[in-house]
Amino acid sequence: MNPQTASASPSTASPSTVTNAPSAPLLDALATFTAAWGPSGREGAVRDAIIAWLAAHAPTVDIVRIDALGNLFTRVRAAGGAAAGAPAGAPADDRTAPSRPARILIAAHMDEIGVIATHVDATGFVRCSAVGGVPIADLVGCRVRFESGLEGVIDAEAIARKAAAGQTATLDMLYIDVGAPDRAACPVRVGDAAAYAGGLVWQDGGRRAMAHNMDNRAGCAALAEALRRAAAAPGAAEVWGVFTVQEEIGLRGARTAGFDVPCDVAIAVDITGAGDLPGAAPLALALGGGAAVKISDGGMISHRGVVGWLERLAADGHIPVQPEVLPGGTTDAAALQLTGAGVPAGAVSIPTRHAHRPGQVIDIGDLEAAAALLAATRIGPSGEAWYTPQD
Amino acid sequence: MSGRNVNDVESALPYGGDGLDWALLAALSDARGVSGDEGRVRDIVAAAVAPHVDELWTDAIGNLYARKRGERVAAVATTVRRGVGGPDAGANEPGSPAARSSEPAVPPLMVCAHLDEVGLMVVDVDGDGMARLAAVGGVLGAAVVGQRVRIGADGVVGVVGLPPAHATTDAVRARLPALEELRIDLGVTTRDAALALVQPGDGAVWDTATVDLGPTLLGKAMDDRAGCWALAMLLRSRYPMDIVGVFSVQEEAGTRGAGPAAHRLAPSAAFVLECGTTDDTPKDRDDTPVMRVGDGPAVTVMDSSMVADPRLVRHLVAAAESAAIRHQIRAPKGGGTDGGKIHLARRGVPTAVVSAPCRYLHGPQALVSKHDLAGMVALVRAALESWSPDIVAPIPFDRPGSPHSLNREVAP
Repeated sequence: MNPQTASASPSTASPSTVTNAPSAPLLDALATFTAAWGPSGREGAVRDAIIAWLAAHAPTVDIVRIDALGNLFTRVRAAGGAAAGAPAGAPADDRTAPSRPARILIAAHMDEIGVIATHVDATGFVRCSAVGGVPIADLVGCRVRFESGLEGVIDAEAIARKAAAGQTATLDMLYIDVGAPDRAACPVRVGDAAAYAGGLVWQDGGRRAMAHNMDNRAGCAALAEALRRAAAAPGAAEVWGVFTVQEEIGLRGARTAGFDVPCDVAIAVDITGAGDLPGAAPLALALGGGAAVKISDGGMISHRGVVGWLERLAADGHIPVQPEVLPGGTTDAAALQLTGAGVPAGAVSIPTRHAHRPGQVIDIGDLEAAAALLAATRIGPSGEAWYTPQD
Repeated sequence: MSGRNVNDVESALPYGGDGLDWALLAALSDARGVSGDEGRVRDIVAAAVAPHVDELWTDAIGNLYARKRGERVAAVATTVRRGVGGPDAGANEPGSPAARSSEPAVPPLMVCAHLDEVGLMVVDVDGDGMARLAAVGGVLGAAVVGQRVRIGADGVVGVVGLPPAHATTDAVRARLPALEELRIDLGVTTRDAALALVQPGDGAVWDTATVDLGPTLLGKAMDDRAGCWALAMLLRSRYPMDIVGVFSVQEEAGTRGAGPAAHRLAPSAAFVLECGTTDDTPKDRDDTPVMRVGDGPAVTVMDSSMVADPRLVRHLVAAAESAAIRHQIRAPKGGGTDGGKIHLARRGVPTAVVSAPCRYLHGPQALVSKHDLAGMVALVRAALESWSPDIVAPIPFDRPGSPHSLNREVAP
């Protein structure tokens, strides 16, 4: 049974009125992280928001470094304060030291999809190409925001659109109107990126929420909250929380992060799809059904031992979960799994409606469940039959 | 290189461009070297840079490395000149095995250009003596129809036949030929005679000699011999810090050489010197170009393979502005470079790309501007001369009021 839905009482106002509500810091994380602008390669504001949140809510979480690509590395040491060998970056063989704590890496990507300016025409309209998997045909009518806060609206050339078979807009038909009268007065420069405009909206009395970038600010919020809970009561394992860059354009941050922090278990936290929509393709994931434990997706088959471990942690903690078999798409875990000589990897997902579109809807109970499940991993995999320290 | 008299067409090149070795660029573009067969090009590069660099070596897959020590260390270091690797490439790398296994104490800057070019490969020979072919890298069938090519180590001449106009049906005219439909005519009539000339696996490239058009050059392999040439020009100067020029292999076959090179060098930052498509010929829509020939070297913000490090982009633009070098921002569209592999090496390498704009690349006649090329050398030189390690210093993350307020890695 889903304790979230079982105990939730009708509510109309704010998230704080939800019975069995998620923690206030988690909701604060969701609000501040979704407010930050950050298409792939431009994650600085998101990273700053995460650092500020950790400073305010979880000051004992170590902020270890920011790497060359912009990945943010954080750490919660194992109980007793022992680090898992020397700090990462030291020779890898430090991890063979006896009795070191297990090292768990949890990755949440900070970036969101968007567009990037390729040309400003003589009349001040901006041409663009895609940053990540934006649904190009459905960009018509979307509002986008540039780093400066400037907003514009995307439309498609009417004549070209009419001439095209099926009237589906393609990238070369699209332009962004930022209200500029001509090229010289246009504040957008070639190379400027934009993300969906929007904001966080509470729905269903605070049980659900919509934002333009739940992918993956919801995952960032879950990871930050998990780190806060882990730091408050450390477990037998050392937990590295890595907030990664450039996931939407090819899992790029996870590749260097995985090289940097050799780990025994790697877990990504990201959004996934939802099948509980009118006319949706069959997909056994529903909002309110709990955090999703990934079995497989388009880029990875999760380690069966990790899947079983996460499911047991959920059962022990009375955390609602649902299995995830996603036909397409993938997460940072796909890159982490293939790091070095290979790492047992899995993913915890937050079912999301309308992913990669301007209004992405999640269930707050699922978000809470994801945070709780990630926090529970700090107990470590030491008792698991499949677990052997990586070397 | 044949060509017009530059002075008939235009006045002296900017940025000291008249002093650059344009004959070297012509020789490089004319050299044959499809992906995986870069030896002839590598030898030309090695001979050109050897007098100017402190170490020269190759690795197991054929990347050529040229180390130019920084001003401070060069004064005391003994100059080491190494042979250029052939079949035993990789055996002559400097340093002891122990030194090789660890990252250098002061990582160098990596400046990379790729040796290889797109072209064709012979995959079989038919009974009538015609060679079947496959593309190496991105080559359109239309780019080889009617073209004379040179094949293999000996440069055997062949032609990809073009039927005469009066014998061509409307249906044939209406579509571009697919590469797979084409064959190379070697001028012989039997399979045995053909196999005496070429073997499956032989690379083939257009038989094009570079021509000097005055302000521009026309040649087959400006992508990326222009980058190799610019890197060779840059290696004539000494800079404040160690530079390792990497002439990489197999870029056109999937950016395969540069990743291992970046893993080996563990550089503190990397600059990729490329030759990029422009899409700048006149058209009826005001929605392009990617970049323009003549508008100067282009700085990449993002392409399919990489988001350029914004700190390096800012440094390059500032260097261009302070030295009054005309430059442009490449429109962030598709296409990838060696930077895509370099920036993901190890813990990540801050990487930027500077491109020479090029019309008609991946074809028999690619056009580049000498102004742009002189500007590219001047721009990268200015960026290297004004380099500071602080440019790529770790991003600070002060947390005011926190006991964990740090600008460095947490101690163990």
